[in-house]
Amino acid sequence: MRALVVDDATTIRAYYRQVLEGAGFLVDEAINGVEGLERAMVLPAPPDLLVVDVNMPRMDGYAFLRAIRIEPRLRGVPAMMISTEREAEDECRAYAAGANLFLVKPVDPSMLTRFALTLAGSTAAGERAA
Amino acid sequence: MSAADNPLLAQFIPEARDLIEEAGRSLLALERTPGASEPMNALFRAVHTLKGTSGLFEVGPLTRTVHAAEDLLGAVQAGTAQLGGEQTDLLLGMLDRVGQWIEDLAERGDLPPGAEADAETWVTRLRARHADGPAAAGAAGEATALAEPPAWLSALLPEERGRCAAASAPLHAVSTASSVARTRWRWSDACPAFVPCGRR
Repeated sequence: MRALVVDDATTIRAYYRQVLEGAGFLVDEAINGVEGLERAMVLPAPPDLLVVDVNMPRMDGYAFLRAIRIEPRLRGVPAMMISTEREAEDECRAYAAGANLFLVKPVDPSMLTRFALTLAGSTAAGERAA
Repeated sequence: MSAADNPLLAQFIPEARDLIEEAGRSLLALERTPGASEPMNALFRAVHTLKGTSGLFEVGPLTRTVHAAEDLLGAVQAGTAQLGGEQTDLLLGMLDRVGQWIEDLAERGDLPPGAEADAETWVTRLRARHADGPAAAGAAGEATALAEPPAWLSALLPEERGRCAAASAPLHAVSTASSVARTRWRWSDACPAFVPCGRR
């Protein structure tokens, strides 16, 4: 399984990498939405999971997810958006942009692991059914 | 014990120093060019990232102080607070304080005794500088916010609104694995105006 982490904070990316690698993912990183799109497009196969921050320079997480959801190769990839904000507005905007799950930082390692495996597993199950 | 004993904390220290430096630089740029959007965005993002990343560690006083600064900057961006000389000096002082805490973390791996009380003072001072502080927040404000669909909701495209409402399906599938997800699934409670967009 492969996960693409899109977050501009170096330490947050390192934390996600540590947790996701522990859960068995190969992890790729991007520091903003633009780089995330480029990275997702050049991977040999679409990632099994996107872990996306909200507030990033150049292209934020909402714009990144909207772009992902109209890109045929990537539109089915499950995405969790992880925000520092916990308002209903942030949650609604995340789902409107195309997130499958909205979580608030800091995310406990066991919760991140469980949700990552569940979301990535749902893609694998969908591929098998198709 | 120092930051060297915790690889993630050791990674956070230089990132935090950079963010503090960037925030300070942006504040000074705003002093020269009040209202300029580029340094304002850079300042907000630096403070926002510092707050979000600090949440990974047991540094509550630091996180709360930076959060209060972010709220003040949010109010400035929303036009409900000014970024004048007094606020700039306060924010620069906050950055100095937080910078010292980062050095304490680098040396000892922990914040110094007294950080809690120090943080409360900074939070109070920062919140006093804008109308969204505790004095202004209350039930009346919340009721007003929920009485009408918020502007950001109206700005969504119809298909985006539909997708948001439809998001209940995948989320419920995940929520069977954890009560935490269920507690987060409350946009329809908090935003009743939103419900009709998928369930009319």
